[in-house]
Amino acid sequence: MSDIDFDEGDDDFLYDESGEDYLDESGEDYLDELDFTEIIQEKQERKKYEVEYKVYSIEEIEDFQNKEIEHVANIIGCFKEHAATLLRHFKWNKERLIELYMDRTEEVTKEAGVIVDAQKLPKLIKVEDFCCDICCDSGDDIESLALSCGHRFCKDCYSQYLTQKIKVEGECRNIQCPSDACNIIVDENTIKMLVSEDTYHRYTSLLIRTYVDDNIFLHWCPAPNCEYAVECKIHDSDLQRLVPTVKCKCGHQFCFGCGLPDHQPCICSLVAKWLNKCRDDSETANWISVNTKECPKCKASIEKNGGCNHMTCKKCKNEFCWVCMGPWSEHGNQWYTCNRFEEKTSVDARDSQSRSRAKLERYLHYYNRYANHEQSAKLDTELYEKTERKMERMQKSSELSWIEVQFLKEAVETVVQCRNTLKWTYSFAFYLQKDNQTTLFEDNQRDLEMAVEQLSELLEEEIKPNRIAELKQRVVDKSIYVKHRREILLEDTAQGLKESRWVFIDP
Amino acid sequence: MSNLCISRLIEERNQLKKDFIPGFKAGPLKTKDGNYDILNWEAYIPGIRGTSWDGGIFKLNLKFSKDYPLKPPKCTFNPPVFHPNIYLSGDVCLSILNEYEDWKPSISIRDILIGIQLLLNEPNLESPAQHAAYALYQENRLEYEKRLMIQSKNHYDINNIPYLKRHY
Repeated sequence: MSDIDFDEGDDDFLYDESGEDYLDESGEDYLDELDFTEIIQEKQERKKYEVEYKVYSIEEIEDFQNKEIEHVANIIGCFKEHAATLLRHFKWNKERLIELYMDRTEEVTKEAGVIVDAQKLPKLIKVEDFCCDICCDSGDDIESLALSCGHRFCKDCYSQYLTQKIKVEGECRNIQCPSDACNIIVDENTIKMLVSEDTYHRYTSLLIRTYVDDNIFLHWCPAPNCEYAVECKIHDSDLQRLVPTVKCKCGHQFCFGCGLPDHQPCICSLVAKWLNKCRDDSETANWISVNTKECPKCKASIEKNGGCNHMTCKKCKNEFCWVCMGPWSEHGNQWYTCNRFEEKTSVDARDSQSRSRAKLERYLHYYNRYANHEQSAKLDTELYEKTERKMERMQKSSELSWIEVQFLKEAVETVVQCRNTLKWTYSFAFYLQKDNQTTLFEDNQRDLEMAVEQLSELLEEEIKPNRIAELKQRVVDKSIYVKHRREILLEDTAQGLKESRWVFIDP
Repeated sequence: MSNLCISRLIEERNQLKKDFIPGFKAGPLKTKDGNYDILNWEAYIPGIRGTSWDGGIFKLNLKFSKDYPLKPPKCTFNPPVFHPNIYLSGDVCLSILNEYEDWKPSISIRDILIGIQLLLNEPNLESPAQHAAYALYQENRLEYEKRLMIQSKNHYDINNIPYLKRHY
């Protein structure tokens, strides 16, 4: 692929809010030299089928939130706690919050459950003649607290109430004042003051979780126990034209659009359709329609297992002709000259049967290849273990160092990755209309498949100590070639998606 | 947890004794051995004067959990009442009685009883709980009101509930 066309068309689905990461002819002048070279480098590294994304740790998300909160608090001139409540209410859409706030302050704050004019943050104090509305305790010596709404409750009741909300109900950004019909939100500082450390920790992690869930450009990495979130500025509508594969810092590679493991080059909607089709037992029904006929009387499905066309339904004992489906009694001894065979209804029935058969065969063609690659990819886990043992042997039997025998591991990884890609090319091809473009796609698919099989074969070759260097050379060369073939296929498919070159059908 | 629950219920009982709501009666039930079961209350709610509920007295059971007042009590009409927001089991469907909706620990038993009394005459058609009553309300208002009046007449003969006599 040439580097020249990298700057074109690549960006229309990606944007950066700051707008300065990208350049077009008119925009160059506001970038200084340093930025410029960095951008060029980044652009060259990104392939057509890759998308821009960032992986964030929980700490980074917290940092970002704190910056946003501080910014809003400065603009509005309120406590950070209240700015946080406002931001959470607006699902962190800062621009919208500020715009609406300036326009209709009272309405916005009322809806969000904040009183921004508050002079002081809630504090635990003792009030004369106090009576708590929850436990009905009264006296001068009870520590109590009220939010800016003024509804005062004792410390014990407040902390029990908050603990219940956080621990039992899993509530975080929407914990209201305990008073009847009051929607003022309990701020983070108050919560920290009133609940145990453990509960407060739960509260903050709930806040982070809702933050990621609320943000359409942020998704948690779906790998088990992984705590990273990935940011990718892709809209749902873009998913028809690209496959946003991202790789988390934990190593898990997944599709940002649907959360499934990497399924390049097949787009999400087709993947969902395909998986549904494979899961669905509609194909069983398809088999039945191809291989069986219904008894004309009781409608039981019958598979013909002998040569004779004189059928007797096991269920209702109806006797009929397999060829014309008419009652056997009319045939006498001359079924083979069955004159109804060429009648229009019979012809129609035959045609529909063969169409259905062709459809099934087409599906099976793609499914078998899809399933084969999936199966082979699983076997690669075993292959990998075998390879590890092989590497140990090689280290012992040759002068090679550990680093030098890494080529086998890398080659296995390449095979696994390519098999995964190949797997999804079959699902993609199943939905592709047959035309000249498809031929090109199939050529690429064939080239990759052939190369992968060759590499796979090489990996299973017996290792002879005196020929290790030669084997290494062949494996490395083939791996490079295979990677290259994969890139060609993915680049071309991605380009095709962008240009809407592929025509999808619903077979 | 249960300390808060019990002290609050005792306080609620004292408050209701001191400042009772005219026409209402509410208090904990007695167990077989003669003690009070503070977690199980019984209340009598009168229909509002001048409505189709007038004249009826409706018995309600309030079952408190150990988490009260962090969680609302379960309120059940016994016997069940013909009303769009009351399940056939007698359970009352009301937002202030739902911990995930409008329940707040500061809502008193008094608020609950008055809230339910109001609900009787002002059903919330957004969340029907009993199909027959809901359908009749929508299709034939006249028939619905008639049915309520019969219900009010049949629901409790005042003379059988001695402590209510003094209010009438």
